[in-house]
Order: sequence, then structure tokens, then C-alpha cells
Amino acid sequence: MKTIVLIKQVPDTETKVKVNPGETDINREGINLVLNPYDEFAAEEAIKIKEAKGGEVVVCTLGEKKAEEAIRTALAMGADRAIRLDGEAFAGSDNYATAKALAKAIEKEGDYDLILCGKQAVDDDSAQVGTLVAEMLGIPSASLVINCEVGDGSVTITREIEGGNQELEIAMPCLLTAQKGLNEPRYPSLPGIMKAKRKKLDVLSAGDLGLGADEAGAAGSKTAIKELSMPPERKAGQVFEGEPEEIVPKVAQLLREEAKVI
Amino acid sequence: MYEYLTPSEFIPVRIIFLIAFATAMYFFAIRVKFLFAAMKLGVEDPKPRFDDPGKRVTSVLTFVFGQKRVLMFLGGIGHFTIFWGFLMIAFATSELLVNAIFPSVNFWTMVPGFPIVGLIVDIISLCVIIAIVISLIRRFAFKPVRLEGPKSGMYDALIILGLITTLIITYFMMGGMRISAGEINPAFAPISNLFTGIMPAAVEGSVGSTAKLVFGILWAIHLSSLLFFIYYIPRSKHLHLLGAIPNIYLRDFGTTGAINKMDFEKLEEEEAEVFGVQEVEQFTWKQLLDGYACTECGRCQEQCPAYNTEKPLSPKILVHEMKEHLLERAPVILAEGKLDMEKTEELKEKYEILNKSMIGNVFSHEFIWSCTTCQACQTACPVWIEHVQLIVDMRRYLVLTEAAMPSEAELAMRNMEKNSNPWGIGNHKRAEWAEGLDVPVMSALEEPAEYLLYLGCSAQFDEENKGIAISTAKILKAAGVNFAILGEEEMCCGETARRLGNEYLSDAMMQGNVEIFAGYNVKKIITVCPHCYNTTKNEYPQYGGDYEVYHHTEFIKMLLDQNKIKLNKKVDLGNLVYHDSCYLGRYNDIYDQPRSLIQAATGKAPTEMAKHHKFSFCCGAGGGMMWMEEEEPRINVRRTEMAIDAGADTICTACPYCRTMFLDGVKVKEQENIKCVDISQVIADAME
Amino acid sequence: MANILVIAEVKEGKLKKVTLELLSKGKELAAAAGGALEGCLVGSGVEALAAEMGQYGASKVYVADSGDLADYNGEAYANVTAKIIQDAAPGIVLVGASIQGKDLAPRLSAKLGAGLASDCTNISVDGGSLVVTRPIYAGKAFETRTFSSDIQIASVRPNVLPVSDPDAGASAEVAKVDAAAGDVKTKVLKTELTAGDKIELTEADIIVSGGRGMKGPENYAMLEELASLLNAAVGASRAAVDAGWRPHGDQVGQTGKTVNPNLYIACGISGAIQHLAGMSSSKCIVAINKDAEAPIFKVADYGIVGDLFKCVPILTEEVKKLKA
Repeated sequence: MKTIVLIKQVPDTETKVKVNPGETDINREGINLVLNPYDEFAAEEAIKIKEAKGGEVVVCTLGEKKAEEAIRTALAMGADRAIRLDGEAFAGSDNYATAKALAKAIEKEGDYDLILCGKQAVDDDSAQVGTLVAEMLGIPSASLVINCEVGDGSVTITREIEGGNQELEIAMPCLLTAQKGLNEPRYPSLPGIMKAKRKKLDVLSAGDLGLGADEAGAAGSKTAIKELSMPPERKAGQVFEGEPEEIVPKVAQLLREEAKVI
Repeated sequence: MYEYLTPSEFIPVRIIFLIAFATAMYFFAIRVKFLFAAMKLGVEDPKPRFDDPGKRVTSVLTFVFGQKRVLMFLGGIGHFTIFWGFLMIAFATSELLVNAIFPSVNFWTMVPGFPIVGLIVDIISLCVIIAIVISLIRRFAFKPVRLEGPKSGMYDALIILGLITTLIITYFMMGGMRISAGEINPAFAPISNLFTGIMPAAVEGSVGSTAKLVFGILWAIHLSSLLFFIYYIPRSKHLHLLGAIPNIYLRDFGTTGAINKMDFEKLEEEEAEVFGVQEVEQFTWKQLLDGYACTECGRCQEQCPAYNTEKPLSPKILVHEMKEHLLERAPVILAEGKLDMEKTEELKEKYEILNKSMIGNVFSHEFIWSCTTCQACQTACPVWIEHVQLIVDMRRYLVLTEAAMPSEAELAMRNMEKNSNPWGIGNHKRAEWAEGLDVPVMSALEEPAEYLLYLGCSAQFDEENKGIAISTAKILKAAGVNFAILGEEEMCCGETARRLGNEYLSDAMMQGNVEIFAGYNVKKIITVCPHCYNTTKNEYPQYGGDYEVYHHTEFIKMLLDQNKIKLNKKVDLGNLVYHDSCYLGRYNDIYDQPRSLIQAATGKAPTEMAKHHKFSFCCGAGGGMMWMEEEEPRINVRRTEMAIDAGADTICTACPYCRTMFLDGVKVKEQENIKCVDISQVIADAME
Repeated sequence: MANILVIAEVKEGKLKKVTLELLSKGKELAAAAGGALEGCLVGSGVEALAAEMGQYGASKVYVADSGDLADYNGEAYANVTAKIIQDAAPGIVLVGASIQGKDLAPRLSAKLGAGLASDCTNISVDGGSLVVTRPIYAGKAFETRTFSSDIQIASVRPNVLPVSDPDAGASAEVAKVDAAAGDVKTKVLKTELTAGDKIELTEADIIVSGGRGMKGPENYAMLEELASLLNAAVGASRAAVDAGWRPHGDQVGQTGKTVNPNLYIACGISGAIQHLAGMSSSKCIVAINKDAEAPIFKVADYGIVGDLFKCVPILTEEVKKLKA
């Protein structure tokens, strides 16, 4: 059984996001990069499946050299080897072009039974790439998976739907995107971390994947970022003192009209 | 005259004695040889153990012969008496040993001054009997906390006390008879003399008389007891008679605050598969010697906050079981060579003991995760056993090798990895408390400040404790101290990660901090948290960071003494109790400065709780326990109860963690009218 | 310019509100750009809903109605919907960024080679091409995204666009299309709705939480009532769990659950850091506490200093009024 895990290195969710006016990326100075937390669930699931059924787990990402830190995290958890896609050709990739590159890499790798990835990356919050990859490979997929049982030639999964759960049986090979609740990712052990340093990591370019100039990067993208902006500053908290009969309705109204949460 | 009573004048008796003596010595020697070999299975010990023999000898005199730590507690007088009584009796009995081989020897008449020794022995022996009786009453009628635990120790104790009693009673009886035979001057043996009338009188020339027979029997019992003693000591808990002296000689003279550093570069080179201590022989030889030195006196257990709140941990069991396990396992290793995982599997059928891995079988995970690293055990230990390192070594195995830790500990570690604080709050929020206070930040200064005010996580992230950071900064500013904070550049000190056993993480954090400090040429540090204090002061030198470190209580006291700050009013906090933080008091001996600051600010000395100074009771937060859920009854609640019992209106602390634990404690006890304040807040208030 | 196609989402036989929001916005955009607004209805027994779509501005509704499409099956829905889009050939496709929409949209994007922007909070058309604004980094920043593909898809976050008034006189042409899903490798085994059951803390959009100030387990009924009105989960602080008032699974905080709902209402919770660590990333925090000095007010967007036993019932009444 071969499982491919698609991962992404992202800024930690606690990171202070700063945008310089007119730029298309956030200010990355001093930002702490981590393995996307949802991809961690995917990696954990893949490793658990390997432990139960045997086989191997291959990690794949599109990202700069620095992204190898995230790869090493997945390898330290127990993945066997990794592929990193890098090169100028990939610059400016949107979700579509990213998915295309990953799909090509997976085709090249071949012989896979299952592809796992997070439900979304916590940087762009798009929740697209996994499903795009599946469609591009022509395999079935399910998103928001919170339980997964690997059977013979198919997987039975539970996925989140609005107000409940749905149980699906999907023929393999297939792709699943992991939602919180799927498992508890393990904390890498030190022997795992040490071994990860010696595990195989291939770096492939667009050329290695046979991607044409119009298929990768900005040229292969269907959308582009025009600019980034900051949300209006969170207003300082308002504290009300006085008669409950007066202040509580006032807060209820603010929740409705200002915060728009009820 | 004395030959009337000496059984050894018969050659067969002498031969039998010699054989018995040689046999006892033989068994003694093979046991000691085994014990030594077992101890040598341990790995190298990183601490200096043999430097400065002068101070080490002094230490042995103080703590072995002076019994200084035994005498810290009232019950210690009994041990002191028995210890010295035993030594004296052993000395006096040496006469009988020599006499058993050379019948013509009589110290009483041949060694000048010996009767004085005899007199002391005679009297002290009575004291020993009294001490034994009292100790038995104490043990069985009052059942002290420290003696709770495995029964084997109790039987051991009964055997030993029985033997000592036998030695003394037979000594008295023989003494009485020797007085009647004129061998001993009754003036130098007043207690033995009491037996003179009871025992059959020795009659001159009465070979084969009743007296001779009775004396012979007593002589045989006395010497057999002694020989049995020689055989038995290294096989019982009284091994401590042999273990304590070297253990005290080899004790750690450095700061007790520093945990041993792991050399990851070396471990990686060796392609190590196991990190930390999984099996007993992975402890250092000195840690194994600790096991031999332990008497199971239980003073550690009596002080342990975990044990006293019904947690599975007991420091006494820790050391005792470690020794027992070593003694079971060592013969296998000595016979088969070093055991790795493969070999262990192969030999499991042959040796039952190999089915029992130390972690999980001898010590449960819960046992290992209950320690607050408060060091009350180490402080109470009469023979200087180093318990905390044992716990941290085993945690290292669990965390580094197995990644098996409580989920809350794991979360704290992940948070520290990602955001350099155990709560996982974005590190850019670290200095939010300083907004609008005009606190100098290192990176904004042209010249680095003289003092780095290193505030740590709790006083900067915890809304409740930000007041500590604010008060301290205000005091330093008022005193005109040339200081600065690191602001967003400050990282967690690594103390929690290290005490939780995640040395890989703490190693990176500590190295990182030393580098950041070097960037500002930091030489002097002021901390508000005793954990940061202990780590930067006692552990950063392991990473090449040597600083002059002050806890804020030390530093503020200095400012006050130098008249750099003025207290303009007396603060009325009612009945104020001061809680000694473990990492400030026991770890670093800071007891007086906080108290004199309180005295200065409130006009009166703080009230002491039932436990204070070096036997202060931990708040429950140390050793990473701050981030874990504790089973009830909780340590912080127990400690809060002590404050309530002392009639506290205010609980004053010098550690942000302690403060958090008390804030929680007073809520649980529904005593929210009791204020919890940090000393810096009291001083800042008095300065207004 | 080309037409705008709104993909409807149906729940329990009704159009979801987000569909109406998309139609309202679509109508505005289509009018401005001179294109037509069309709709797409996929499901079982959904044909009747086409009329309602018409009232909200759709001139034509493509309907794929089949018993096989009763449950959402991403593969089947995508096959059917992609075919409709190919037939309708719109320039812009709008879909709700609901769980279903977010599953469907990337499938369509890949099948049609169409650009897709997810979870948009604002959409506009510039020179016939879609321009969207969407939150990134969990709302800590926004990006403006433009499209270069022929078909441009946006999934739009529910509840951010207003619904305009329906035109009772308007109607839509209904175009029934082939509802065959083709070769589908996914089988729906069962669907379980947990509505009415307890909402998971970590998944709830709104959480009402009580601490030591609740004084006893019996008083949580008050919070439960408020929570059921808001479709919220009920949480608790460590103190309340320790006291045995609430089960451990309800604990929010460092040693409990980490939550980040849109609205967190903290009642009688002082805000020890152990609690704050688990909930401070909530989008909006309301604190009700009688102690004005309580640290919870430092993180609250709206603080009410007062007796929660008086304030919570008033808040409940207010919510009832707002929901009415």
C-alpha cells in the first residue's frame, strides 16, 4: 500500500500577519513556519495506515528549500521519503497550477493507493488543492474526512456535512482531505527526527515533471492575486456598566449590527 | 584470671570461630564485589565527584559522623544515638574478636584508657536500647508518613534492631560476668554491673562450671550476631552503612539547580536509538550508588508534595525500587554482557527479570509524571541522594525516545516550539504589557543596557501576572537602573521543556537565548520568575552563557539598601504569609531578601506557614506540572489550606507560577477575599 | 458579457439562504454588466424550487432532478453540474461557500479548467471579469483576486451578502437536463444528521460558556436555553469542570478544548490564562462578570459588568426578539 501525503509549509496560526501596501505576499520577516496543521492529520493517518497494513508513505510538497523543514517534520513522524517541487517555473502558482504540478508529480511517482492531504492550508484558506488534484488525476475524492477505514480496494470514510456526518465508500485509489478530529498527530520522537535527516528527499523541477511553460506557475494559473489588504483594526473592547435592563439589550444589538454574529 | 571465661582457650572453638569468621568475610566480600560491579554498570557521571578531597572529607565528617541532616528532624536523635552506639559497640566488640583468636588479649587491662571507652560504650549501649524502644513505639504506634511503603524495609529494620539489641544485651550479660570474674572494673561498666548479680558468678578454677557454659553461650551468640551482621549488611537496607559514606563523599557540590546536559552531537554521531534512561543501567554509576546509600528513612517521602497529595510518586520508592531492580538485573548483565533490544528479546526466556523493563514496570508513567521537581526530597535526604535528576532522566526517555507524555505536556511543548511560550500565544504579544509604559527595549537602544530585565512567559502573557512585569519595570525605572527588556525578541528560557524531559527542545531554546543575549552583550540579568532565574543562572553556563543573575527580590533589596528607591508608605495587607518558591529557596537559597522587603513595605515580618524556608511546600506548578491537570487532592489547594490555617489575609509570592496556583487555590477554597500578590507589587505600592 | 450562473444548494426541500444571497448579488452584477442571471438546481424533488429562484432574479434555471441525487455525492453532483455549466456556458459561476459548495467548487474548477476563488466575502465584475475579495490567514488579512480563465468560479461565504426582496411576479424558464451522474466510484452509505443533538464545542459557530460564577450545576439550564436559541454549544471553564458541574468534555482551555467560534459568550468566567489560551482566538467575545477587574474583560469585545443571573435571562429575551 502506497500513500502519498500532500503537505504545505505555512506560517503558524499565531503569527502576526503584516501586509505591506501594494504587495501580493505578507511580510515574511520573522515569521515562524510550520507544517500545515491539517496536513499533520493527513500525515498521521497515512502513517497509521502504514503501521497497520504495511507499505510506504511518500510526502510531496511544492515549495522552496525552506519547506524541507515541514517535510522533515512529516518524515520524523514516520513518512518514508519525500518529493519537493521547486523552481522558478512554479512562481506565481495559484491553487489550480499548484494542483497541476502535484498531480503530475503523483503521476510520475505512480502506483499509489491513497492520497491524503489537509482540508485546507491555514495560510490561503482555500480548501481547493486536494480536490483539484483528485479531479486532475481522475480519481474520486472526499473532503473533510474525520474517520477512515481502509478496506480491500476501497476505503470507508466518515466526512463532515452540515449538521451531521456522511459515511461513504470510495474505490481506491482515491484522495481524502483531512479534517480536525481524524486523529491526534503524534509528537515526533528523537530517533524519528534523527532518522528523518537521512531519509530520501528528491527535488523535482517543472521540467522533470514534463510540465509545459504554459502549465506551471503564473502562466498555468487561472487566477492571480492583485493585492493584499488588512482588515479594519479590531476595535478595542467595550465594557458596559450599569443596569442590566439597559446594557444587555445594547450589547445584543451590537452583536447583531456591529459584530454581525447573531 | 580472665581465662576462666574465655571460650577461645579451647583450640576447637578457635578453629570454629576462624572458619565462621572467614566464611562471613567471604560472603561479605563477594557481595560487596557484586555491588561494586553492579554500580559500575552505570554510565559515566557528568558531575565532578572527586575534586577537592578536603571539602569532601569535611562533608563526610559533617554528614556521616556529625549526622547533620539526620538531626534536622527530632527523630534524628534516635538515629544519632544508635549510629554512635553501634560504632562504639563495634569498637568494643573488636576486643572479643581479637580475643577469639588470641585468648590472652584483654583490652581492659592491656590498652591504657580502654576502660574509659568501656564506660562510654556501657552507657551509650543503654541509650541505644532506649532509642530502639522509642523508635519501635514510634514506628508501630504513630506510623509516621515517612515510614509508609514496602514492608520489606520494616522486616529488615526489625532484624537489624533485633541484632543490635542482641549484641548489647549479650554484651551487658558478659560484662556482668566479667565483673564478677574480676576482669572488668565495675566502676567503668555501671550498666553491665547491674547484670553481675543476675548472672551466675564466675568461680575461680571452675572449669566446666555453669558460669563458663553460660558465658560460652553468650559469647557464641554475640559473635554469631556480629558475623551475621557482616554477612547481612550488604544484603539488606542497612547496605546504607556501606553506601552512605561514599555517597556523601561523592555528592554534588555544584548548584543543585542544574540538570545534566545531554550532548546531542555526540549522541547523533553514535547513532543512538535510546535517549534518556529506559533501563536502570543507563543511570550513571553515582545514581546507582544513591540506591545503595538509601536507608528508606522516608524523610524524602514525608516532604514530597506529590506523595502527600495521594499521587503515585514517592521519592523513597523511587530510590528503593531502582536499587532492587538493579540488584535483580545486574547479575544478568554481568553474566551476559551489555543488553540491547535484540539480546534482551533472546534472553527473555532464560531470565524472568528481562520481561520487566524499568519504565512501565518498575516505575509507571504516572509515577514519573507526578514530580514537581521541588527538591524537598533532596533537601531532606540525610545521605545526599539526587532524586530530581532520576525523574528527569526517565522523562527524557519517555519524551525523546517514545514521545509518550501526557497530552497537556505535549501541547505545552508544541506551543513552546512554535511560539516560544507554553500557552502558544503569538510571541509578538510578549511585550504588550509594556505599551505606554515607556519601558526600554534592547533593540531600540543605541548602546545595550547594563541590565537585561528578563521577564519570562508568565509575567508577560498571563493577564493576571502582567502586574508583576509592570511593577518591576516601574521600580527599576524609579531607581534609575540602566535596564531594558528584549520585547518581542525574548524567548522562553527553556526551563519547563527541560524539566518535562524534552531536552532536545530545551537545548535549542537555551542555545538560542544565549545567542540573543550575546547579541546585546548581556552580562547582568534581572528575572522576576525563579524558574527563569535558576535556569539562566545555573544552567546557561552549560551553554557558555555566564551571567550575573538577580532575582527581582534580591535586586530590589539591593536598591532599597542603597537608598535608590524610597518606600513612602506602609502597605496594609493584613496578616500576610510569605510562600517560599522552591526554585528561589531550596534551589537558590534566597529566603531573607523577600522577607526583609515585606518587613520594609508592611512594617512587620511575614507570618510563616506550617511549612516554610527550606521545607516549604511546593505550590504544585514546578516540573512542568503548571501545564498539566493534576488529580485531586491538588497540591496547590493543600498549600492554600496551609495559608488559610495560618490566618492569611494576603499570600505573598515571589514567583508568577506560585501566584497562579494560589489564585486558583483561593478560588477552590472559596476564600477569594484572600489577596495574592507578588513582592514587586507590594513594593511598587509602598513606593507610591 | 457572458451570463452568471448561480448553483443552488437545497436543504430539507428548501433553498438555502446563501443561494438567495448569491441570486441577489448575481442579479445586481448581471444587470450592471449586461448579462443574464441563470440558476442551476441539482437534487431530488427540487424542480419546484426553480420558481423561487426566478423570483430572486434567475431568468432560466437548469434542473437536474433525480432520486439518485437525493444525498449529496460530490462525484455525482460534480458530473451533473459540470455538464450543466458546459451547456449553459456562463462566464461566472457562483456557489455558496458552505461545506457542500466548498466540496463541489474545486471539482468543477478542475473539470472545466476554470479559475476558482474560495470563501469570498465580496465579489464584483470588472471589464466582464470577476474580481473577488476573500479573507486569508483566518481573516487576519484579505486578498483581492482576479481571474484569467474563460469560466470563473467564486464560492461565496454565507451571511455576508444581503438578500434582496423577491419579485413575486418574476418567473424563470425551467430547462430540465440529464440527471445521469455517469460512472461514480463513491457510494453514500449513510447520512446522519445530528441536529437537535449536542453541538460539538470545536465545531460550534457560537459557544456559551459558564465558569465558577455559575454557582452550581443547576444554573447551566439558563445557558442551555440561550445556547439552543443561538444554535450554540455550551462550554465550561476548568473551575466548573473541577467542581463537577460539567463533564470534562465541555472544558474549554489549555487543558481542555481549543475553540475559535465566531461568538464566545463567557458567563461568570474570570479569564485565567488557562481558559484564555483555549478561546482567545474567538472572533467575537462577550463577557458577563460581576467583577469589573476580571481579566476576561481584557480580551472581551463586549463586556457586561453585572450579575449574570440577571443579565443572561435578559440576553436570552433579546435574542428571542431578534430571532423572531
